[in-house]
Amino acid sequence: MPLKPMSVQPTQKQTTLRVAASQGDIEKPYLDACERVLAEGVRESDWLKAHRREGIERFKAYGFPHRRVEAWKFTDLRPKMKEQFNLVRGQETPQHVVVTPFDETPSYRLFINDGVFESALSSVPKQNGVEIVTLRQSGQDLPAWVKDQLVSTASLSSGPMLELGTALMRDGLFIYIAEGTVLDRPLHVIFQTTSETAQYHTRLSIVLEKGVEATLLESHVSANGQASFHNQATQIQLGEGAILRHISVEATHKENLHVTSLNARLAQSASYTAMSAVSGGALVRTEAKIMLEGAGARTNLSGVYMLVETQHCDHTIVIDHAAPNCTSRQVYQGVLTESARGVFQGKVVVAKGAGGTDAHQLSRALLLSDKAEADAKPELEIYADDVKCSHGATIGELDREALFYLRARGIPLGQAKSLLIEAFLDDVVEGAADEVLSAPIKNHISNWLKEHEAQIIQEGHRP
Amino acid sequence: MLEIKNLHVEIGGKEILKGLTLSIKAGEVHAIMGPNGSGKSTLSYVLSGREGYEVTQGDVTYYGERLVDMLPEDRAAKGIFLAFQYPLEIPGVTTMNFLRTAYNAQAKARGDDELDAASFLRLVREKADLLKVSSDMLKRPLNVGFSGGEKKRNEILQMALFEPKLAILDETDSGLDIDALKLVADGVNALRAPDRSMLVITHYQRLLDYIVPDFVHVLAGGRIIKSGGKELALELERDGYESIVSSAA
Repeated sequence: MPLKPMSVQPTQKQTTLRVAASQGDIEKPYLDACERVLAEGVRESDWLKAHRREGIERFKAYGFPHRRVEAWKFTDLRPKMKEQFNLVRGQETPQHVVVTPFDETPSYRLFINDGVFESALSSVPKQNGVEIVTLRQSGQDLPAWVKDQLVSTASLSSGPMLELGTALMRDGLFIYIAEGTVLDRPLHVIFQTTSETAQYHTRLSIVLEKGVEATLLESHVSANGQASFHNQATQIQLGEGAILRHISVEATHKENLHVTSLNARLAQSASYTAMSAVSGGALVRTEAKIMLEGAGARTNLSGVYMLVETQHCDHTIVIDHAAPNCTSRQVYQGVLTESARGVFQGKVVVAKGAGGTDAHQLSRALLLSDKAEADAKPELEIYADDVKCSHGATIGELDREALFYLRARGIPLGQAKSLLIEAFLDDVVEGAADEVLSAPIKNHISNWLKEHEAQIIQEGHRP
Repeated sequence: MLEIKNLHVEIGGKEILKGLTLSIKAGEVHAIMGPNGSGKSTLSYVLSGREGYEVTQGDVTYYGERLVDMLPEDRAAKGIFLAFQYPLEIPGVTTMNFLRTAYNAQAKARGDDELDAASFLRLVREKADLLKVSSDMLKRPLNVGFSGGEKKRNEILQMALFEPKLAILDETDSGLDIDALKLVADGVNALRAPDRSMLVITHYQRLLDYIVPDFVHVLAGGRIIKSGGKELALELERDGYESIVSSAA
């Protein structure tokens, strides 16, 4: 549908500001928690304790992100961090397992409750070539490849939230798939929040060796209606020609805070396709850094978001074209009503020598109310010749002519709006996944529209 | 069934209809002709409930019910159908999905049974064949990439499916070549019925060779300045609007 174009000036050379050591009152309870975790000396090796210590020290130096930090320009996390979130200590298998959009999709379920892996609720693939390690079970003696993943996460995703996570992570799920391994089903990692007003910090890491093809589904759900805080770090490493499809749904309670630091490294001709659907959370932010390190690597990132009330969703993405002939696509589309806010910051960096780069980014937002807001900041930083880069951003409202046409055919206003919104969002989903994987997301969108029809209608009741 | 009395309509503070009066009985076909800017499309939009049209004076009743404050979707469910001059293109919504959603929304509003996908498909196929609407068109997004003729045939297909009591055809002949025009007119004529009235809005007399009206009205300056039988259309074609507008003034 036609949207009003919004002109966006690409900015060159953004320098990252680091706000040093503003250890204020906000950080103190978190730092105290870090020290407690370390002092209590849970069954962990000295190596892991030292790793946590480094995290604490670096978090101290950063402090919680300030809006003066470019990457956090549109998302003010600090006030949210004033809330006292409990660091969940014990481990109890939840009484109630929440439904996820992928329950009908055959998969290996890897269930994480309040940040801790629950083997009783999981179905781990048992086959040669697949290794799955958790921090809690193997913390005393981590395999070398897990340590490598922790170290590379620390160096590649460094930032205040990652460092805080290193210090406070309760558990972590590390997946390794060896060359020549064929998984018969997708892996489905479910993060469920059960404890009230909890904070939990998690790690998810997946390594696909040369030529491995896998699908990773990720669901975030809440078993309660309380605010909680999930600080997640995801590390993805793809060997030569490896293919990963990664589809995630954030459907937690609307009080939830969920911050993700994602890093993906792609070797030659590897392919990483990621699609996310965000309808939950009070503040949901994914900061992704995709590193195209080998020639001919490809990444296709897309997302849809559906926000009401004062929900806030932020996608901040950096794609590093470090090798020649790599391709990247970013398509983010969302619908916002009431006082919701959507943020898209997409940056493409093309290194010297990365000729033949093909990079495209698009951000489109539909605003259904006067108070909703969308911010788009695409950036290009190009140091190579012979590149094809483009970006586009539109922010608009539903096409009134189209709405009238549908209503003149007897389709009531709410249903007419839903039909147009669904078409707008499904377009992204269909472009990112095959029918088997797109169907659960499309159902999720359709259910969301039915549940929120009153909020979608808002204004426009006059004939 | 339709009574328009001294209707005054403004758009953005500008008066477009200035005291239009028109009465249509069940089963009658009325043609409204008039020069550009006379208010023809405004009349079709105000009857179908498009926003932004303010009725400042007069009234419209449809089967005794006041129409002006009624939502467009309610008017549709009560049998008012507008065949658009420029049917909207809606990417991402397939024609079939749109037709079924609309059909069932109207049925639901009237308290009738909704149709499942299979029964609806049978109904559509039967009507679509007459209008040469292919199954490929039905699978495509609504009107996206349709030719002018395909769009108009799709409009008449909807009219055939929804079986309205009052069909308003807004410049249905525009953009059609003679073969397409015949096809569309045949489709419309097949829908003529004792309980179905039609309001055919057109600039040219050509369409009325195929859809022969019972009454012809000339709209100029926001009012009907002359009414007559089908021969009035021929008179207009021969003498032009100018002579009638000046003789009526």
